[in-house]
Amino acid sequence: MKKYNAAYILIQILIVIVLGVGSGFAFVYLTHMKNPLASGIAFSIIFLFFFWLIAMSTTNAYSGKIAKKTLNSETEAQHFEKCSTFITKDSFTLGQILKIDAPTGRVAYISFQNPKQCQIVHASELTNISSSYIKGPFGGTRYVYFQFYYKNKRVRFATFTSRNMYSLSSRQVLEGISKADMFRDILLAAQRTQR
Amino acid sequence: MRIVRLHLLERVVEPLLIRIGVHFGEKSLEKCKECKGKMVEAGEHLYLLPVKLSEKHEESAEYYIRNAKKIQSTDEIPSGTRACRMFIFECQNCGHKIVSVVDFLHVRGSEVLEGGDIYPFDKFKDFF
Repeated sequence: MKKYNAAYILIQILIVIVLGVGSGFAFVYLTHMKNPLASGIAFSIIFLFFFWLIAMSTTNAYSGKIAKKTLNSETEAQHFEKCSTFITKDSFTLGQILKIDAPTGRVAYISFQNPKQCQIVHASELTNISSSYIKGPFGGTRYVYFQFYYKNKRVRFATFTSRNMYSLSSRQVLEGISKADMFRDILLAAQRTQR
Repeated sequence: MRIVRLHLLERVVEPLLIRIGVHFGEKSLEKCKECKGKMVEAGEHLYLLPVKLSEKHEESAEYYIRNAKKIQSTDEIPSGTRACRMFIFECQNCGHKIVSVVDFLHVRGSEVLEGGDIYPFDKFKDFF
């Protein structure tokens, strides 16, 4: 599954650079600073960092809208009916949407960093469908997921993430594990469906 | 600071409230409200609910009667689907009966309590 579109990412980087450098030099010009070139470069770096933070925290918001629109139009055209949908859209993570059409066994995937390309495959083409968690110290975890492989490339969806370690018996982790198991079972059932 | 407070709420306060609720729930099942006699368990049934994960639903006897589907064991519960246990308690003294419904999410052998309540047996007479 193609997760990244180089052109789309480059455009975002360019916008951040233009905004950062433009803001830096505009600030220097408007405040009539001495030594405009050196000040401009210094303030550009500061504004670049600021705009990079904003871009990283909001990219899923605006890219997600484009991705959802693409996914909805493609799946409607392909007559996806009884679907189970999983969306990951946390800030500072790769946003992804997985839509599984249970009656036909088809799976639609779109990544927020490749929002114009909706990839539709049959679940029989997916391998190693599993759900698990990453073990932390003292028997805890902060990351629960389900994953599959498509053409030897891993695609992973987190159902529970946290900055802190949670006990495996905590409600939040158990619900994350349940969600991961549910989607794993939906994918396995879709695999058994005839094309 | 707000994130830390929310974290404390999730990790400490919420499990504590659930434990207090379970403790008082168990206490309320020990004695009959009619005659203060001893209540004993007279039956246990397992049902599947049309609710996934931590979705909210109407907490009433009518909801459970309309939507619960009888199953034999927890092996029949699909992943991510909620189930409920219905315990029938009967007073040894006056024969008064109540039904305790425990709504839970079954996860790899563990059960996450999602809700529940105690209802008069009359509402479930035809159901059982």
